Parts: sequence; structure tokens; C-alpha cells
Amino acid sequence: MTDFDDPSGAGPPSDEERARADALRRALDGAGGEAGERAGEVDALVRLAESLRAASGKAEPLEPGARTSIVDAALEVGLRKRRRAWRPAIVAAAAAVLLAVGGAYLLGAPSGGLPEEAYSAPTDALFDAPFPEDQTAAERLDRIVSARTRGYFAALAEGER
Amino acid sequence: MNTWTAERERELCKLAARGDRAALRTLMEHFADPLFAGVILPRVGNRADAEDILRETLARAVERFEDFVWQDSGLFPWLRRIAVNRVVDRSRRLAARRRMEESYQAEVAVLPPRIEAGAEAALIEQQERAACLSQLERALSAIHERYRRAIDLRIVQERSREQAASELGVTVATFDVILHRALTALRKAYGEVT
Repeated sequence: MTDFDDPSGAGPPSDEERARADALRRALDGAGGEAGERAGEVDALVRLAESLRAASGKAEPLEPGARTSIVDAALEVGLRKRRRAWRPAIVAAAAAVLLAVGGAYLLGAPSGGLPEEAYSAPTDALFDAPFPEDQTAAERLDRIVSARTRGYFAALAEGER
Repeated sequence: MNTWTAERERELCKLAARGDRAALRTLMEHFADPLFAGVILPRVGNRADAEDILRETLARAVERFEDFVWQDSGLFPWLRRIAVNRVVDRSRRLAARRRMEESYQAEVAVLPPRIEAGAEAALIEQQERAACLSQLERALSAIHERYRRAIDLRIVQERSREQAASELGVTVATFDVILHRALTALRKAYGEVT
């Protein structure tokens, strides 16, 4: 058997194959990426080798600092998108409240001023506990609008009874 | 530090669904390691890409947490599905590894949850890595024994080139060529078994 015996019958390497093997060695040693036409092949082989290392439990674990910054960034982005998804519904509900209150006022306001029910309760009365310190202003505003909207519809349902 | 139990995980999920930031943080930190080391890195083989995918996975989970429906297997299978879908998206963007991508999609669809809620993160990671390794081992078993040995020595056992070459009884320069051929053969076999 020669050094290069294999089932495909491949013989000694050409200069090109030696160059590819050398590029792979450098990439596996972390000596920088390969440029040019070999880059794609070398990258795919290095990824496969790293996949095997990771599956065998040989890869370095996620560093605690990296984990914290990844979780921080994910919370920031995820919560922002979540608030954005709620915003149209909250704005629509708030607009409905304003329209309903305004309409009711125009149609039936007594000459001596607004009835007591038309005045909103203070914000403090809407919540059982102070806002958490890490809550942003936008999150607090969302909670206030949601609570007032709920209150409005509850009052509306009460009035219909 | 609180022990991780199914009850605790479920309680945190309830709080997280209401947007509780502290509960979301605890859950994401708990599952970050098994997602990274057990699910994402063995599939993408690149740490920087794996960290990006982990970030996208966790952000998506935070955004869509209200969609999560509690099951006895807990939160991990849901997070895992998001992560594998992100891996598929990434490989689609790279327009490469088409067969693996199809295999991952099939995996998302059929893989039954093997994890119980409350399982330790290290156990989840170990099971996930074992699943990936068994797929790679199927590919390894399809290549020439000498190639398998070269990969085992250099990649899995992390021996130096000189040591690996000596084990195979060849020069270092020849070993480099053998390893290149071995990984090329493994790549082809992996595409065929996945």
C-alpha cells in the first residue's frame, strides 16, 4: 500500500491538490481565511471539521460574557418588536376612547361642565405596585394606555347594564 | 441559586408570556448554552455565525413568547425549533448545503421531544450533541478507514499534525493531503446521509 491508497484510487497529489491541502491546514490552524476560488471549499471543510469538534464536545463553551451580551441584545430586540406589534392595537383603542369621550361630550355635555365620570382617575390608582425600575418609559406608557383602555371598556359595559 | 425544576420552568414561562423581563432573562440564559453548543454550533461549524444565530433565536423567542404553548417537554423543544429554522434560513442565504438544509427541515418536523421540562441545561446539551454526532458518525462510517483515522486523530482527538502523521506512518506534508481528502470525502458522505 502506498501513502495515498484509497478506495477512489486517487494517486499522488498534484501541485494544485497540495496547495488546497495547505490552505486547509492554515485555515484549521486559524491562520486566516483563504482568498480566491479555494475560499468556498476551504470554508466548507473547516465548518465540517468544527461541526465534528462541536458534536464531539471539543468546542469551547459559550463564554459567560458573550452569553450575557447575546441575551441582553436578544431581550432588547425581542421586546422592542413585541411592543411594536402591540402599538397599532393600543393606538386604535386609545383613538376609540378619545372619539367616544369626545362624542359623548359634544352630544350630551351639561352646560355646567363635565359630569364627574368624564374625568379620568389618577394614574397611581391604576396599578397596585410602582413600576419596576428596569421598565422603560415606552413600556410604562403602554401599560398606562392599556389600563385606561380596559377601564374605559369596563365603564362602558357597566353603563350598558 | 434555585434548582431548575419543571414547576419553576413553567412558572417562569407564565411570567415571560406576560412580558416579565426578569423571567425572560432567566429562561434565555438557562437555555443559551444547550442551544449554542448542542443545536447551533454542530450544524453551522462556525462560532461567529453560531453566536449570531443564537442571538436571532433568542430575540425571536422573546418577541413571540405569547405563541408558546406549555407542554410536558417544556420550553426547550420550542426554542430548538426556532434555532434550527434559523440555521436553515442562514444556509439558504448562503445558497449552500442544500441537502443538509432539507434534512434539518425534516428534523424540525418529525423529531419527537426527548427532553422533559425542568431538565438540566447540561443534559439537554449532551443529548443534542449526541444526536448530531450520530449523524456525523453515519457519514464517517461511509468513508475509507484511513481517512476516518486521520479525521479522528487531528479533528476529534486534536493531536498535532506531527503526531497524527506519525500514527499514520507518513510525512507531515502527506498527512495534510490525506486530511484534505478525508474531509472532502466526509463532506460528500455527509451530504448523502443527511
